[in-house]
Amino acid sequence: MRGVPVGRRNLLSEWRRAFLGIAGVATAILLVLALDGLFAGAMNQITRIIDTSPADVFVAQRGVRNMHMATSAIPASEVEAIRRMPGVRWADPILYDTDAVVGKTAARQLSYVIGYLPGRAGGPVKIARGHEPGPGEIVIDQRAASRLGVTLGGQVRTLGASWRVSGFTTGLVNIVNSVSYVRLGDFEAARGIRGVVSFVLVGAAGNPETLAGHISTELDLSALSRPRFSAQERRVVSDMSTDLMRIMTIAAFSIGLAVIGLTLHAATLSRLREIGVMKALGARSGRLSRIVLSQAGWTIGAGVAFAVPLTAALGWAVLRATGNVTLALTAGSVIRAAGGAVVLGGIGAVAPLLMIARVDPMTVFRRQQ
Amino acid sequence: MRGRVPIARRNLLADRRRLATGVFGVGVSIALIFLLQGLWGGVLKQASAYEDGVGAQLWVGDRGTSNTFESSVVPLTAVDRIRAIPGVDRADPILIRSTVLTLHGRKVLASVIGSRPGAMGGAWSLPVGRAPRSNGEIVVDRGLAAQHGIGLGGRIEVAGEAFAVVGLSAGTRSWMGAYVFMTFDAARNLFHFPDAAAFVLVRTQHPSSVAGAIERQTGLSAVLRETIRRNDRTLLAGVMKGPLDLMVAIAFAAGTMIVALTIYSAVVERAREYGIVKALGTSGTRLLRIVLGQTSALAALGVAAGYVIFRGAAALVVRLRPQFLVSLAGSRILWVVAAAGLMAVLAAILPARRIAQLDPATVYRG
Amino acid sequence: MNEIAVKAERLEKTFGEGDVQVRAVRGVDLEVGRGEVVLIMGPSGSGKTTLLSMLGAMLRPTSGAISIDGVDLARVSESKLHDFRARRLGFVFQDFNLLSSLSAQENVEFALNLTGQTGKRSRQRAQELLEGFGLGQRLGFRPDKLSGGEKQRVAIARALANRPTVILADEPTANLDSKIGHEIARLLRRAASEEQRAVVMVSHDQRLKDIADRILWLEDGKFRAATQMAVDPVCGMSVEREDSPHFNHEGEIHFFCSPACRDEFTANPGRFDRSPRKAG
Repeated sequence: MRGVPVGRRNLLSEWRRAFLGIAGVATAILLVLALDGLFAGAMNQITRIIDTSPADVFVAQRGVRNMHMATSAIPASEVEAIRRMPGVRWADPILYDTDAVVGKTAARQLSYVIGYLPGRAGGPVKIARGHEPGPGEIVIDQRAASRLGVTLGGQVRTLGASWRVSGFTTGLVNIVNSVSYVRLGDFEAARGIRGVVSFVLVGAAGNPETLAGHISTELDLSALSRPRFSAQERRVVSDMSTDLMRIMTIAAFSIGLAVIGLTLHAATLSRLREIGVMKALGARSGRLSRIVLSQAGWTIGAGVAFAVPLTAALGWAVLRATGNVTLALTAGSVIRAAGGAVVLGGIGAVAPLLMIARVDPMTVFRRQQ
Repeated sequence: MRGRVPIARRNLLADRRRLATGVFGVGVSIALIFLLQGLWGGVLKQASAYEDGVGAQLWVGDRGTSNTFESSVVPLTAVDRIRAIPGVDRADPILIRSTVLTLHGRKVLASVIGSRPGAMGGAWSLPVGRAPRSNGEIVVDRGLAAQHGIGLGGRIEVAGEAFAVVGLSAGTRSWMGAYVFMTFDAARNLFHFPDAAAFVLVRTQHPSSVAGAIERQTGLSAVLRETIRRNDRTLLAGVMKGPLDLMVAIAFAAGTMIVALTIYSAVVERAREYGIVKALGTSGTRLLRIVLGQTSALAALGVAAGYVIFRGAAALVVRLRPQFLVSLAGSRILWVVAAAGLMAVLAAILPARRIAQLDPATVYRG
Repeated sequence: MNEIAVKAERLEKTFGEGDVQVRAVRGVDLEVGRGEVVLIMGPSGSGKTTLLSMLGAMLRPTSGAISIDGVDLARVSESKLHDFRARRLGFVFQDFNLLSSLSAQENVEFALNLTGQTGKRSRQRAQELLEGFGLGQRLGFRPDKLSGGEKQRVAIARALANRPTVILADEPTANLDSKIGHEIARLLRRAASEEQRAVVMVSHDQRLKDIADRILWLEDGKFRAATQMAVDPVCGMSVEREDSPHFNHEGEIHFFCSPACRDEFTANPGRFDRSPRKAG
């Protein structure tokens, strides 16, 4: 059975201050969740092309374990060698480079350009409008197309050549660039490449991990199963962002600490006389401490509760506004942020708790000012 | 107003601890905004570090190329043709490819620059060691090397090939990645590049006219250093602007909340006194000025504290993570000050409303 | 015969040292029985608040002994004092000192929570107490919506919630008008008479003399000669023996609030068939 919830009553009786405190905490947590979300979103975007690929194993140049922002070159003859290996159902090469796709006007869109064998793996998983590229044709991202002012059948330039837009993909754009597809042969011709491919996508008959291991050992190439390849890709973003995240998180939590400290301090100070009354009536320090901690708990809890949908809403707004920036809200980041906020609440409660401990119940006999 | 009792100042200073906490909170928010702006300024500067340092006035690339992120292929045969053009002092081919290094299990983005020994394109600042002369040699940024315990004579793996570290460069690193330098042929072999360069770097005393001549005679794009620099910065800025603005907006909101919370608490604590002040006949405008005075003072103190915190934080960041460059332009500082002004105005809303709703008759109550 | 609820012996309280030493209470003796109402009066700075604080187990005396309900306060450890206050003492203050964010009912409930009573039981008791004080329609009202008299009634209900042995009232009627002040005074008297609580009041309010069994004068930390009270047989008011008009009727001395009452009595003594009653 519970007693009167004095902490909660005190918090809500000054609802404007409670609002400001909760909003302040929510904002600090929003800062952390948004930043977390930006990087997680970037990671998701970057790995989508890998995660949605039909390939079970990705083969690259020895020592290369990434796709984005990496360069890989494998002799084309290795494709056949891979196909002949036991456990391989199919193996398809792709060429891959980063270049601008330039539209009618001077508008340019940075893009990963992939050259693949028509009808084989490595091409667009889903074409929203139009069809796969024929000779001299290109499939580009729908969003990129609208930025470039290009329609189906229109012309773009990339890889030093002109292309006719045959189709649009969706969902493969990321914060830096988008993905475009041309035929492998066209890619080779445009770039003057012969006998070299960037990656080989492999379908496995059995266990992809085992197959990847065989390919690595037998052919002295880098071969990773799709999940591992995807994980390596995520690591690039997460390793790059670690330091920045740390700086921002420290700043955000400092802000949160200030807010919680201010809220509790103000709330306690304004009730110091009542604390004295409660002590006079016989309330224990534990009971009084619980009042402060309850206020801290409610402020933080409400702050976290608001921060989560706020982050989701922000993510929606940001994606709508930019088209390529996503905030990915994960349970892990919410738990981490909430945990941090709880610690903050504890720290922020220290001064008010000391204040309470020092209140002399005799103050009840003094006249109110 | 001279001669008037400074109510705003008295109220603000009445509770020093609250004021200190408020200034700290606002200060951190402002410091964060400064830091974000500073990091962004640093990123922009670092984005063009190579073109700033390498000393070429013109960059010759594939037709239509305008920045260093896009793929560019220039046949090597074009190099001699370019050299033959009057006004060209030097012309040297380079390769630029991005790759991901794995150092002590950590992924590091790297731009591999391949240039001919003795020619333009290599590291422009080499405080330790020398430039690569043969294909198995590499120059690595010294900060990156120090972080991973790589010294002269050490080995580093790039795209599956091992290279011996013969030199450590400076000014070749950002928080996003680093430049590494090898010979032109080593890079071509590593990446199985066709018989071509990515760019031809040109040194000339007459960049504009020489650029025109190169384009006419080779059909390639000859881009001024300033242009390519601007384009590289614009590209990176375009990528980072959205997230940066988002973070700044949130930090601004946080700062505003803190100012509002601090002043609101101060007002509520003295609600009775404000009631008295109202009962004595103070106008609404004066009361609003009292509130604005407090929020402005707090915001101003917050900016000052924020700048101090920023300087300290920036120094600490750069000390612990030298790959970060914090570069804050004066114009940005002014922008932040203006933002703080807006913060003060917005933060005054709730406290002002509270006062407006106060019933002056409270003076008569016990 | 009243049981002794409050006993203070040779109470001393000194603040400070050396040149700045202040003896706020000097050798005070006091006994208050159950059902008795004692009024302590005196000028500002006489030590009333200090004495009340010591009786309220909020301040340890420099020397002397206090026992409440037979329990020597010196033997109650610091950690147990709050519990002692919650169970044995009730407080009524000049400024009411209600918790502003709680309703009237919750303010009373809060006191019950302190002694471990929670939930429906505490709510019911709070409700009963407040209804007994005519506040049945005000249970959910917060203090800022209550009048001064209503607030003080809530405070008295809070003070009585845990059935304490002693009620300590500090200027309980100071902020109230004449009519309400009388009401509050009667409530305190009722608490003493009907519930056998010892009530110790500190006040300047002359109205409280009407309900007091004894009036003590505290000056410079010491009690001056205690005044005994008697009841005016004509109007029923409690009067101080020392300063009141009196009349010897058939060997008994009667005390009156005024010469008018005395004259009325002497005109027809048989009409006022009452024995003089001592209070205390």
